[in-house]
Amino acid sequence: MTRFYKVLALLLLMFSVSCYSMPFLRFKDYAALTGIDLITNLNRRIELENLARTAQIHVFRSTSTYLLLTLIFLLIALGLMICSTLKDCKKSLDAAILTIAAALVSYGLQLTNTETSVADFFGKILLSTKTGNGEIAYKPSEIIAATGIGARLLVVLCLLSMALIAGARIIAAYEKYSDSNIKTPWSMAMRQFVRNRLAIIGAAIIILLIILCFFGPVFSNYSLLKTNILTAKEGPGMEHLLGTDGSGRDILTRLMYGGRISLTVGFVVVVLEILIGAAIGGVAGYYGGRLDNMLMRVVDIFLSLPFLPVVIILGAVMSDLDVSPQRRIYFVMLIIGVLGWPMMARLVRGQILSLREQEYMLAAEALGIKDRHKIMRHLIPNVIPTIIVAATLAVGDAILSESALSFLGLGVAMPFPSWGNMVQAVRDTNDFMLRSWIWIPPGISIFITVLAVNFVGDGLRDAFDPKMKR
Amino acid sequence: MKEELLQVRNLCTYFYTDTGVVKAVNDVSFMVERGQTVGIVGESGCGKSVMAMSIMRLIQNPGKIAAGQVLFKGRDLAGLTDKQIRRINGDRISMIFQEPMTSLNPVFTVGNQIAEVLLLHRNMSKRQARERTVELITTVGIPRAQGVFDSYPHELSGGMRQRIMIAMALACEPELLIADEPTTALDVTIQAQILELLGEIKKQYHMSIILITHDLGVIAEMADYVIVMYAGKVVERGSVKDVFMNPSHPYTCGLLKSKPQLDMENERLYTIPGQVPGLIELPDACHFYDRCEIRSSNCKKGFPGESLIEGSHFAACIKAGRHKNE
Repeated sequence: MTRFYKVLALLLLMFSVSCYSMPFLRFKDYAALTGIDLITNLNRRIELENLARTAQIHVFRSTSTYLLLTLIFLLIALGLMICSTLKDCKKSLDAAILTIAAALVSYGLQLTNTETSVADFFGKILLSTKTGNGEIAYKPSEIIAATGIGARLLVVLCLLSMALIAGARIIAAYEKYSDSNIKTPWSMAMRQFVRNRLAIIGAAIIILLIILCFFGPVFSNYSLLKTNILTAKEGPGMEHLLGTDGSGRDILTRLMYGGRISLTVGFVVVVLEILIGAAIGGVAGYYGGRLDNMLMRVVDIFLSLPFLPVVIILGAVMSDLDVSPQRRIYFVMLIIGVLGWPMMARLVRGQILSLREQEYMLAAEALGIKDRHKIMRHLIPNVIPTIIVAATLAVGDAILSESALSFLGLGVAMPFPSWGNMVQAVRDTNDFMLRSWIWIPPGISIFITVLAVNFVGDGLRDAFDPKMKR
Repeated sequence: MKEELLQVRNLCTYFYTDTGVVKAVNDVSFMVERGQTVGIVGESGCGKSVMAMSIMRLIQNPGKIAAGQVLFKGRDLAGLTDKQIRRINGDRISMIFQEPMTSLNPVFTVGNQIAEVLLLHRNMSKRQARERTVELITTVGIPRAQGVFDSYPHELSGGMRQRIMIAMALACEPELLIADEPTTALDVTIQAQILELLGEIKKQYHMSIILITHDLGVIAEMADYVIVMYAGKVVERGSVKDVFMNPSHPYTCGLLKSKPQLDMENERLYTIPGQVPGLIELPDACHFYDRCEIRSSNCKKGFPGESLIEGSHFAACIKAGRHKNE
């Protein structure tokens, strides 16, 4: 059974590698560029007939390290898969999933798709002009390119093969689990989690949203930023599935990019909170005494800062410093993270305080185990369930905070979309009354994401709660 | 000539709490020879566990070893740095705790927890440590050692967990094993098995055991030498035979009398009246005075010194035997 999955996944992977010979980038009236072209042909000259004479000659400069990385990762994954089909090795299966994921991440990695078009996924299109002294200068061009069938197939095939390998892996793990009577605390929590239907639905929604937001844009024929006043505020239809916004940009495309930002903010903020909060809470809880007192007073200070006023001031400072719209997103993450860690620190400190008094810590001391090992090997693993639960719920909070900030114009700034600033459209009374497609989709996206995150968080809490064991 | 392994001299462990200084262990001296089992008995709260923890320097704030020496093979443990004591703990001296249910970390397999000690003190490779651990698990009488290596504490019963704790304590073949009520949390049949195991292991590794318990039956079965503690003080000590045959301190007599006996006709079990006094600001008198059946006004004049009964049998009671100083 698992073998069938593996072979199928292997075939799909082979196909996805062969996609590199298919068109990745389409220009109107010009032969498409294949994936291989994009990697190998630096400075390729292309001529577009129908454009104005001055803009006829373009030089496509492939700076697509992402695409090259993707290819390398895919080839590694292919090798690993061949290994695991021949030798039935679980480790290489795990590694294969990871490398495919890495390939997909490097493929979909580009938080803000700037300048002109989808082409930026793969490289930069630059317009070449001759300057006065005969040298050639490059500047960003305005031509629109769309992703070709190769790029789209690549994503689909990669995702499918990853799903297949994961399926094989889960089946194998399940067989092992039901065969042996060794039940790790993790597997028991996992079983508890799987039983919770709402949590599973939530997890599925989150995975779906991640896939949609990070890989959806590849399937879009529209540019993120290119405005077209002629098609402004069109209702949903075949041309634009969710209609267009006030500047004629495709709402679905912007929604997907906005989702990238919202989700990234959610996860990055939480990682930040965990890093700061768990470290400080852990140190305070473990060493106690005066250090604990000091750190906890710092936590108190942070907790007494009113969130909105502080954020508004920081937002104003950002505007004053002329932080570029693309950079703002990082500052938003930083601000939300720095204001959010104290709760995590308190939680971890409390846990560590009670764990420290456990008999096994005394036993560890009696066995002469070093402080470092006691913290890393005995305390941290026992705190991880708490951290996971709190972190999951914090993802929802972070997404909401970001949306609120962006809605107020303090977070991600136009023209870059985030769900929060897309909802801003409601401020226009006409749009609010007559053109609900402009502001309802981002609003629903925020709502669904946060709801799903909360379901997962609740499910995890129940799963890790020893009192819920059946 | 017997070799002296551990000598505790005038050990005082005090807890400096807000309500006053708790003298949990107050001027205790005794000695453990190599290969000997020393039993420490006493009621709850009389300082048995604190003394064991003082030997291993596990006392935490607000507790402190206020005075005295713990000489392990001639080296004073009380004066070592934390780093030095860590090298001894788990390697030369190790400890078994009362609660096998909570003394194992729930998120690791028991095998890994035993192997951790070996990796730390013996610098073994992971594979060596695993082999040795499996060996140890077999030694402590658990069948299917390979399988148990990979199980988590919650999958094992109390008796098995206590065996794992013993295996962990044995990992580095310590010279001194401190067993702090190793059988209290177990049911009677398992108790017997664990005690038997301890006896076997002691013979096999030729180590000394300090056995802390409030079960006189356990002492009678296991120990060579007994120390009876009361309110942080040693009230009587001597070889098992001497103490059981000829108890000289009224407290020891009380303890022995309150042991149920099969041939006993009395319907009610004997109890020593009253409770262990609070350990804060004890008067300078015999601490047992309030509960003693043979007290007299002389008992209020300071804590009685130890008087020699015979051989190595001492009791801290003015009415027991000849007084040493006489």
